Amino acid sequence: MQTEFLFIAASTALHRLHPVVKVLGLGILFVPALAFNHPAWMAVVLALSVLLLLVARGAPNLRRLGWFLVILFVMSTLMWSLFLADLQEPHVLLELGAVTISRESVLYGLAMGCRIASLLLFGLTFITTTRPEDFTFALRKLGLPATLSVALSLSFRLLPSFLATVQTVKDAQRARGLDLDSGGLLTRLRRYLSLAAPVFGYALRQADNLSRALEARGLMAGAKRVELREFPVTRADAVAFLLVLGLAAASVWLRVEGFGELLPRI
Amino acid sequence: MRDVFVMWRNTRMVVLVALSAAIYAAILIPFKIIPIVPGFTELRPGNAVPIVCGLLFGPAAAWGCAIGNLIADFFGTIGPGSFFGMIGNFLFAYVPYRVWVMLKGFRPPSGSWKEVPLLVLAIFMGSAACAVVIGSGVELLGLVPYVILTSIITINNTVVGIVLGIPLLILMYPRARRWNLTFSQVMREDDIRGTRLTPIAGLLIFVACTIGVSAALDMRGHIADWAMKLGILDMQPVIGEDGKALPVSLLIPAEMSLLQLGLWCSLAILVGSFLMAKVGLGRRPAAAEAEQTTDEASTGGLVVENVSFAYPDGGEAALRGITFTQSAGQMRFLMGRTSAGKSTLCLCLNGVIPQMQSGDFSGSVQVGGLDTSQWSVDELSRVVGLVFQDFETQLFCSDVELEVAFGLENRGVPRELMRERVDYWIDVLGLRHLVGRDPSTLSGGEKQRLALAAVMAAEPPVVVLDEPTTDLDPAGRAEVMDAVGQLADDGRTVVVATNESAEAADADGLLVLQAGVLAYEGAPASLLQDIQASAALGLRPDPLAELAAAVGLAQVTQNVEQAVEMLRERSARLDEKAFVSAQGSEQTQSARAPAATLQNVSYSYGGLPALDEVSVDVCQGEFVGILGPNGSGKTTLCKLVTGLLAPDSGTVAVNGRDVSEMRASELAAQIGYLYQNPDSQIFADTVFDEVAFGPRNLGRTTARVRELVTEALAITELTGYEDSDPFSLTRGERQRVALAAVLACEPSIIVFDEPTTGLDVPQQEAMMQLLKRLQGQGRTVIVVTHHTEMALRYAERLVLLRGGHVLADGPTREVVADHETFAAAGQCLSPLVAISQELFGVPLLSADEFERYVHLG
Repeated sequence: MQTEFLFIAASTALHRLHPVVKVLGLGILFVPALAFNHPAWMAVVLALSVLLLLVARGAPNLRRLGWFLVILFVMSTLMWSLFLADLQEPHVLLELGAVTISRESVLYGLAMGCRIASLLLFGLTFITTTRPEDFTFALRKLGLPATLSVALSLSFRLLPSFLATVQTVKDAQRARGLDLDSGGLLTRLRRYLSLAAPVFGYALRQADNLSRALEARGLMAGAKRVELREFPVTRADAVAFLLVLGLAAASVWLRVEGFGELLPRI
Repeated sequence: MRDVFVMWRNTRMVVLVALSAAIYAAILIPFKIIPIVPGFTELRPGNAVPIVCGLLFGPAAAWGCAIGNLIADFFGTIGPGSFFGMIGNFLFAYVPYRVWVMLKGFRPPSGSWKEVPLLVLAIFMGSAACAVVIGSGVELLGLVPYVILTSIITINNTVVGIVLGIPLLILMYPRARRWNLTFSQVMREDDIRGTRLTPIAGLLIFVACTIGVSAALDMRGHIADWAMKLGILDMQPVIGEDGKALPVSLLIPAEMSLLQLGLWCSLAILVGSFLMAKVGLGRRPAAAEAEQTTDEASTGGLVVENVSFAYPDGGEAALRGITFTQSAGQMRFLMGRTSAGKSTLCLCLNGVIPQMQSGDFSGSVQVGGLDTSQWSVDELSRVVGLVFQDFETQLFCSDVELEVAFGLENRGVPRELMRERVDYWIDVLGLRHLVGRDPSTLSGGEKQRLALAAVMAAEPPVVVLDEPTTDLDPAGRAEVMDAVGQLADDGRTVVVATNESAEAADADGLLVLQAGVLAYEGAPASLLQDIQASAALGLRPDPLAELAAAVGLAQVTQNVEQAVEMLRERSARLDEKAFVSAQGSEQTQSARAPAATLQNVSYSYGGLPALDEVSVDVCQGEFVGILGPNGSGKTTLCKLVTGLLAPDSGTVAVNGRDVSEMRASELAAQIGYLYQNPDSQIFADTVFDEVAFGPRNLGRTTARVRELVTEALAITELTGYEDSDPFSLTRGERQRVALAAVLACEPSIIVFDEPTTGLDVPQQEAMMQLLKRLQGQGRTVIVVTHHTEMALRYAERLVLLRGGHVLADGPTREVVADHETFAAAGQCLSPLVAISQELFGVPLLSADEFERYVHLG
């Protein structure tokens, strides 16, 4: 079970960027990925996303999720090839009953495969370089209300603690002779379901205690919340921000000029 | 949509947001690797969570599931689609809850048979709303065709929602009610109630969901097309401009694309959801006024007048007529047996009672000049800080520094001042080396220190600590108590609940509760030096008083030096013959067959080494105590011996067989493990089922299981509790249930992780005597403990650990004799050991031994 966050502690230029710049930058980077639908142009965007991840020292994450990306790419290509409708003058390659495969649908499928892979790779670069608490910090700076940001941090924090509870209960059952990982699929499924009652019971009990503890430390005290941490804005932040902004603007301009367009849709 | 905004003013709802999010993400993440449509839609049993949480927690679950989905995306799938995922999952929890409230009013469903048809409708509407919004949004981005995602999400969510969701609801409903967490218990009806528009909004959602989903399932007319070809359906085909028949759809006008249809349906669903409840923000409680007044009342002590409290379960009152006052700058200790009412009184002092805990409260508590019945816990937190007994649940940040800063951040303390105070308290509590770590990865004792720092950093004028040192090693305990003493010296009012008489010795005053009544108020020494009076109240007397009684001194000495001097004056001598012959019988017990063997075992948690090349042999029938400072690897050692962890290198053998080759059921029949916190290992609804769990797994017959359970309950003195709910019992009883559950497996070796934590003195003694009896039956007993005194009195052999290494291993008396090593393992020397070594050159381990072997001249 993969339960570790994908953040990789390193000190690359991307890691050092201000969290707000990272969040905004991620949003802006989605623009080039959504701007084109020609496979050749999308391949360039995909190459850019891989490069960015490697610069962030994200190669281990690329290895971890690589096969997942390949499946996504293949399935996206396949599905659009099969289900793309509304084509003006398709060069039909193959007709299978109600399904038609054309040159356009295959090319569009390839472009969409590149698109989904590059979107995920931009996202992965973000996750590789940003701790969950820095993400929350950025959202807070971008105007997320204080209680909502506390709830968000709390969720990130409760996740491992919930998984730890599952592990504790599993251990406790194993210590008394229950082999969770043996037997047929159905037996195993039933055993896992028997975890539900103690795990949820434990989680709810914790919720009761947690709300007392939060109030006892003044969660709703009514004062304007001040954050302990601060991140200085550097020249690198300005440069990075302008760079992605320029890239996004250039992609939109190119598309408007008719470059990178296979079909008249997104 | 008022409910969705108003709920943010309620702490319980905020916690439920996080809880729903965490549960949802936790179940989604592992399935990210098992897609139904490979690469796009995961097979998501987790999708039962939004339904169940939505129906129980209402709007909190809607926010929670949106956040949970986002968090799950942090495990590899974050992208622009995440935005639609959040909206879709919000609706997935929100729509069923609103539909339910619209049809059945202000109460959550319990999952009974009669409710099933309506539940199915609510589940379908939630699933469809989620599917239509995500499906159209994702096609809008050009990622996946609408037909694919919408139909798969609808089918998956509806099926999972019904098949897993309803049983899960039946399971969670009573638990959520029990802890007062359902939306009808947390929110006001007025904020949730619908309006005249609600039925129309509900209908709008229903129609939009039905059209959106059937359009997707219709596969853009292909189904109709096939149905016509097969002759099931008879319709006139529509002829296009090219003269060919267009695919026929039953629901979509031919000129509207599926995407357009999906977007219109999504819009209708969103508008419908918006109109389901009242619009507006409701009344806001007056907070500004509170701020001003609490700032004025920043100093002052405690005035407790005639306080009584009874929990709603209908049992005896937990507190009866408690009255005392305490002025600023005083430190008082609060002692008494486990159910005497210490924690209840602590909760009264910071306003959790009566503000958050239901029950019958009377009397008044003034803390820092504020009446707790008039102010909310949030507002009271400016004048009083409480460290709760259950310290694990009060840590909720992702970083040690942020944890300490949390209270200060909430109060808007300027950043420079905040930084100063955070640094100061991190240093005072010895947490500097842990900065940057995630609190959930710390050891028990480290967490406890952090919980203290987090409360103290706010520097409130009144500090209440409920058993703040239970999980600390003796040396750490002394350090923390020094820091607490400093608080009082700075002019703060300090109340410390504890079971440790040694800590209370230098307090300004002692309060002792007995069955909810204040039984003693006065100087610590005058009670603790009176052996009978202390014992009557369940307290451990001063060891020097025990010494005086044991050897027949008329007067209790104040410290070790005085005691040594006085015993010299009275020419005390050791009865060497008796002592040596007793020693001889201790020696002969060694040289037995090995029970548990660790050979060069190393283990690390994700790169943090916990044990390094450790070798320990435990023989059959031995009673071994394992001592060491916090984070020295004690619990890791237990888990390795019991096979719950597999060593990185080295071998672990139990009764001569390698643990890695044994199945869980084989292992459980030979070695049992009692967790530090009994609540971690109790999971059945009745005591009988809990104790029977093990033997049933081992394949014992029903008759034999009954026999084993009866026997185990008899040993642990729980006969008659078979049908009780384990969680309705006291901590001491739960500990014994957990032990009975282990005993019922008939293991020859039992490992106890801190068996006396959370127990009062008489319970601790009873537990240790029980372990001694188990040893008498021929079992091997391994005990990890911070109670040095208990280990000295009961264990015949000690293993000292530090930093993952074995520091010393040998007969108790030999290990104790080496003061330096003993102290290096975080242990404090007991005064009795110090005195006997000074006088006779050999350590005596208890007052009993003084009585037996020491005679005055």
